[in-house]
Amino acid sequence: MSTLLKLFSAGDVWTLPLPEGAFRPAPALNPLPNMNVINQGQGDVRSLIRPNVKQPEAPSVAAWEHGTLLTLAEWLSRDGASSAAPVGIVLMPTDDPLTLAGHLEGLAMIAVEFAKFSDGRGYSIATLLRSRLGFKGEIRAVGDVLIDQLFAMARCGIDSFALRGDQDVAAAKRAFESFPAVYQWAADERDFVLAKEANLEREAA
Amino acid sequence: MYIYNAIDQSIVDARVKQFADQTERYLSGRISEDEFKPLRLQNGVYVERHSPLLRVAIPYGLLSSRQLRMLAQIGRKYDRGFGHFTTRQNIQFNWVKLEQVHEILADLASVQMHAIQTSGSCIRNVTTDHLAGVAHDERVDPRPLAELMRQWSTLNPEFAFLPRKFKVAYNGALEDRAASEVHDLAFDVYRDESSEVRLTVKVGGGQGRTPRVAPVIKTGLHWRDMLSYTEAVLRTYNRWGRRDNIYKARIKILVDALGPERFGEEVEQEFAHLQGGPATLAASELERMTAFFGAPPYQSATTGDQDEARHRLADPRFNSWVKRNVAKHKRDNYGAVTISLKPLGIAPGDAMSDQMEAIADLADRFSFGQIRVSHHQNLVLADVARSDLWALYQALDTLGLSEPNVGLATDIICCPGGDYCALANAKSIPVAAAVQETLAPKAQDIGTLAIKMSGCINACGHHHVGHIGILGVDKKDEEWYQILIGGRTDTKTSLGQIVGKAIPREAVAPTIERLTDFYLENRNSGELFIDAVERLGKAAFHDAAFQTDTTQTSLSPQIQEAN
Repeated sequence: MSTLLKLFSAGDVWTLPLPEGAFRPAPALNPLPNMNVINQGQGDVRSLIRPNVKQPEAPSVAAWEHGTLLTLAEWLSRDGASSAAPVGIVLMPTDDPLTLAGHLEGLAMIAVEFAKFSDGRGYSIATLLRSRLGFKGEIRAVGDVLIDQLFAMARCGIDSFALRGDQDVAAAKRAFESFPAVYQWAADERDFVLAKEANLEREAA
Repeated sequence: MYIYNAIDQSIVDARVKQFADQTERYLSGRISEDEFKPLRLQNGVYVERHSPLLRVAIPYGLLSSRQLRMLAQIGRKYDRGFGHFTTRQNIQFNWVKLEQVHEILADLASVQMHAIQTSGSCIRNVTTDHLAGVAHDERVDPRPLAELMRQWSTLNPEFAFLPRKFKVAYNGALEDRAASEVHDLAFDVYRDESSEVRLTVKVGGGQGRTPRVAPVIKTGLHWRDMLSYTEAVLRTYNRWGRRDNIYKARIKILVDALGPERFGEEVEQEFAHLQGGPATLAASELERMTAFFGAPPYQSATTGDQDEARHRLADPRFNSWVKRNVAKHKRDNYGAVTISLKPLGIAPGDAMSDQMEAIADLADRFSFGQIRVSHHQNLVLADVARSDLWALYQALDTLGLSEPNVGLATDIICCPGGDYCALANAKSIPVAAAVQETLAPKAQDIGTLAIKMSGCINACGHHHVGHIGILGVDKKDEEWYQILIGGRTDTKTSLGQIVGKAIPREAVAPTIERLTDFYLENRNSGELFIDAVERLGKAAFHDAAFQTDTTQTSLSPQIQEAN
């Protein structure tokens, strides 16, 4: 079992159980490394750094509460055919969310795949779904969904989070409160400092 | 300078708390090494050869005396009594303990400083001209825009995990003292005919293993659209930049792959949706920011010692110092004084805590309590009355900080190299020291000569844009060095070219001396080294430096790939 965090509004976070297949299980544990020295030699730097992202072959989750997740291609090929159950799809980091323009009708949930937590494409995908396409349904982070990225994910308009199996739920809920204020506009439409109009709150501060 | 309000302070304080919590979870084994790494990097913590290192942000290189005193105190309390000023106008502490980093961050926050995004694959600390606001050739002071960019990029959620690091630089003057064209994103700031501030946008410059001068992708951008346009550039990069290979992940590779025109069109398409949107800057916002960077209360009639000329005649070293270390100020009765952190025998850019405190005192006495860090790894007191120059010089001299070598061959830019850095292929500091020692007797005669040294291909020491560049390479686990000539970043940017074959460490200083000797023998009157290279050709310099050299060896395979 893992947990789905559902963010209804700022500070209003609910937890729901997730079935197997709807979240990424915990990875095998690595022993804590020696933080004092990481490189004894002076070899080629290329051997020291691995590529930080490998292209995922498949989504890390195949299902959600209402059944199987469709791929972008599967959804587009249905071309508006109606469905009794709510429809959810999953976007891979390489998928172009703008191809969904005009195809959002009947779509209850869009899962954004974070194949690796350090692959930041999902943030732009979610931002475009909200701000460019005006998608109002649920956007769910799936895959490598970790505590320390939740704040940024929520700011980009993601409102549910299929936590990886090993993540601490209480700490995850706290993460949404990491910062009391933000500087810039993002798809969550939260008040921000660099406002277009003079910011009254700042004047008062 | 910019002063935090309660909101700024609350954000920085929250960051300290967040990092303390992350560190605690890491040390108790609840965050894996791989997952902690980007978290610590985005707070400036590297793990180096001997110890973790903390890099502290100095936004566009500007410090108050109070902040410099805090840096001194941190150096003493958590490091070994010194700090290292970097080529990105930051400071780093080489010997910190991970468990103590959050305490250092709290100390920094108490003086409105932080280490946010000083590393990692995100938007890094913004840099600009160290003479911003006082330069005689300045069109627009870029610091208000740089501060707006700092705020916008701070904890920007969409661009927290870019394919690779992203460096932004501003230039508002005729001479580009920020080396802006070797940054991922460069803004040239100017005023149009109706006195509106506009920007020329260049994208895809950089050094490292694929050096590039950034091509222009947009002209005439109105300042109010600066953040919207930047968002378009970054979204394009975040979505389409390569992520499969860390060496092909910088934005310059994407710009190369698409071509600057096509890349510009992609950005323009995205910008069309964003222009006029929520990231648009209000006039009141720029006014508010500009007010922070107003001129200090300059004196029109200067008091004190009026007799600069008399002292210059009487003391030739003071005369050299005025000539080399005091830059022309937009006000005739002021000068911008560079304090060279390159005396012989000191690692370039290092400053002891005691020195930092003394410099802070001098800033209070002579320069309105502000200090700038230049990308040349020196400190600058930007607003010194000329009538105070003699008193300031004497005070610096007693501190061992009066080296009159700014812009000379001994004012070497140098990365920490193999003595500290886990990425380095070769040591930098002893090589720089040998070159300094060899050239010191002739440095005043040679005149302006930018020597820049990197211990590996990542080019933190800017070797691609040195008039003479030195690059440490690894050859079968031995340290070798490649010499480049012809790079520059002043009124134009060009990349240096490798001359000759890789040479061992002991050959570096003699080889560079042969280059400078050839220049001294062949220069025209008043001609700088770099101009002589352009007139006589690199081949002539190559022949002069390498034909007598019997220790040369074959080109390193890494270098062949890099070029």
